[in-house]
Amino acid sequence: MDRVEADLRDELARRVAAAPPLPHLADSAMRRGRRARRRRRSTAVVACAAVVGLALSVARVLPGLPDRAPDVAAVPLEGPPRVPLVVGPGAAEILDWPGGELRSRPVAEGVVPVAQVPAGLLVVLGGATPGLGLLGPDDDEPRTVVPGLAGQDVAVSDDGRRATVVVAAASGRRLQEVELSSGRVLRTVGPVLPLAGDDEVRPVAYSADAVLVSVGAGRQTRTLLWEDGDDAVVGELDGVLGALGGARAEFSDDADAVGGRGAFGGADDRCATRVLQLRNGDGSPWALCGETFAGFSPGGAAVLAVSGNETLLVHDAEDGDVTGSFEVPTGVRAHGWESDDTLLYATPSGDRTLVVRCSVSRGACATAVELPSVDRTPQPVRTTG
Amino acid sequence: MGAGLAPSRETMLPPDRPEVPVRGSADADFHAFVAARSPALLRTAYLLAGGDWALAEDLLQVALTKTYLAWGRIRDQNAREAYVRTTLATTATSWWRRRWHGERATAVLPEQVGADLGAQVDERDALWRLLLRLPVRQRAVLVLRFYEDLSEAETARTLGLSPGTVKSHTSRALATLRAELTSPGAT
Repeated sequence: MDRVEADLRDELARRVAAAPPLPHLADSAMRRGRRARRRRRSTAVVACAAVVGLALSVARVLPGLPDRAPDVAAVPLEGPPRVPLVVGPGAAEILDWPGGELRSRPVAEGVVPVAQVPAGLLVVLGGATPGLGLLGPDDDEPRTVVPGLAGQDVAVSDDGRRATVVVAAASGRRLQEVELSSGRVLRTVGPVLPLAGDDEVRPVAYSADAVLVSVGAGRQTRTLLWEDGDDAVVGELDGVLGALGGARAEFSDDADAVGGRGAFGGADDRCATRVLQLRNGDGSPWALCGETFAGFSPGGAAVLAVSGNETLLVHDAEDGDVTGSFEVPTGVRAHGWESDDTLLYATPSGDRTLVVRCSVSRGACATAVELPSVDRTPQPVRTTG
Repeated sequence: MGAGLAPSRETMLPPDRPEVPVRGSADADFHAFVAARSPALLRTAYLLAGGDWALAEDLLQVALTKTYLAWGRIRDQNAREAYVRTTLATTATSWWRRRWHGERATAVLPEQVGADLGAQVDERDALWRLLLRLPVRQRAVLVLRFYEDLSEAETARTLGLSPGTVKSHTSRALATLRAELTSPGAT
């Protein structure tokens, strides 16, 4: 044991030497516990009925959560992507490789895939009936789940079963959480402060027990939490996360960190993209200076960032240490995580577009597939569940 | 009322008995457990809560409430304290996800120290301040390893982490403390 360890032992023991007495602690805990039991019993009756009613429809559409991607150490770098690619501009086509064979599906104009959820379903926005929809593996047209959105932002839960959107109602905008498989409204809130007024309201991400909602714009943005079970959006992330917004925000899988681009008080504009460690007691985030946040790995341990369209960087989500770096002299056109160890990027090569797979642990890349044409960019779809 | 007629503080306080009648042997067991172990648990909560007695009390209260709800399922008496400790650590971690705290005002100024003790106290304070700046999970690992004297395996079980993760958290946290303490101007 070195001196720091010995000093640490002494200091910890010294700090707690003057603990105050705590009378009636057991009684108080028992009172709270009994109240909680009563609440559980009363909600269990309602929940039971709801579960029975929903079970069959959920089971039909979402037959079960697929396993995470297999152990990637043994997976060859070559071979088709394991997530669908949306080919743009205009997100007019979806590419996937069922059984290893390329399949191309055209999608209706204005339909934008947001995320892939269990059973190969794609959550989409837009379409013939503008709203939030689901596109099945063999469908050409999405099935509308929530019509009448009052915004083009949706947050999809990590298990892929729920989504939160803003809908237009006669009395004003409402924040609504829906069961994706059925469109059933699970809970709703508004139009009350802070959702009243003309401020932009955007559901941006799910944590384990709350939805992160961005209200306002620019440096006036407030970052609120709509916590499970609450009938109002009241929680607010303190500290430097006062203004998370912008194009993209995500919670890591364990909800210990949130990353995104926003306007942060006192932040250097060059470092406006940040990853904030919610479990860090002093609130100090690490910043992505000159880089753009491009998402947490599925397990939340790593962050993908892009620098200058020619470098993909992988950071340790906890402290920002660079754990992988991939130079792409021909330029990165699209990028995304495929698994906890592999990422995909698209780059032009002559008259073709290469989709390249890189393994972070191996520090190596190889062409996964080649696609004809360089005019359209294949973007990996975020996969949940 | 003259001072001599005022009832003593002891007689004004309610008698030290449960506010809610104890029901059954499980409740009596819980009561006895809390009475015996709450001082030690409060000290652990204080370290997990970043050196705030009020927050530590809230943390312990929440952990004990969760423990009470699970009391009937924890048959092994030795597992009870481990259960509370686990709940303390996981609750502390989740609280920091919601709120973090920057500088805090303190009601009591640090004691003045003699010149000969100054350097030693400065160094201890620096260590304490650095500990509070660690990510809460790293701090929890250090508290369990160096205050509770748990092994890596026990710490891993308590925090629901793998032993490897506990090892890396410990190593990272100690490396941070060493680096900061040896950097110029650390104290």
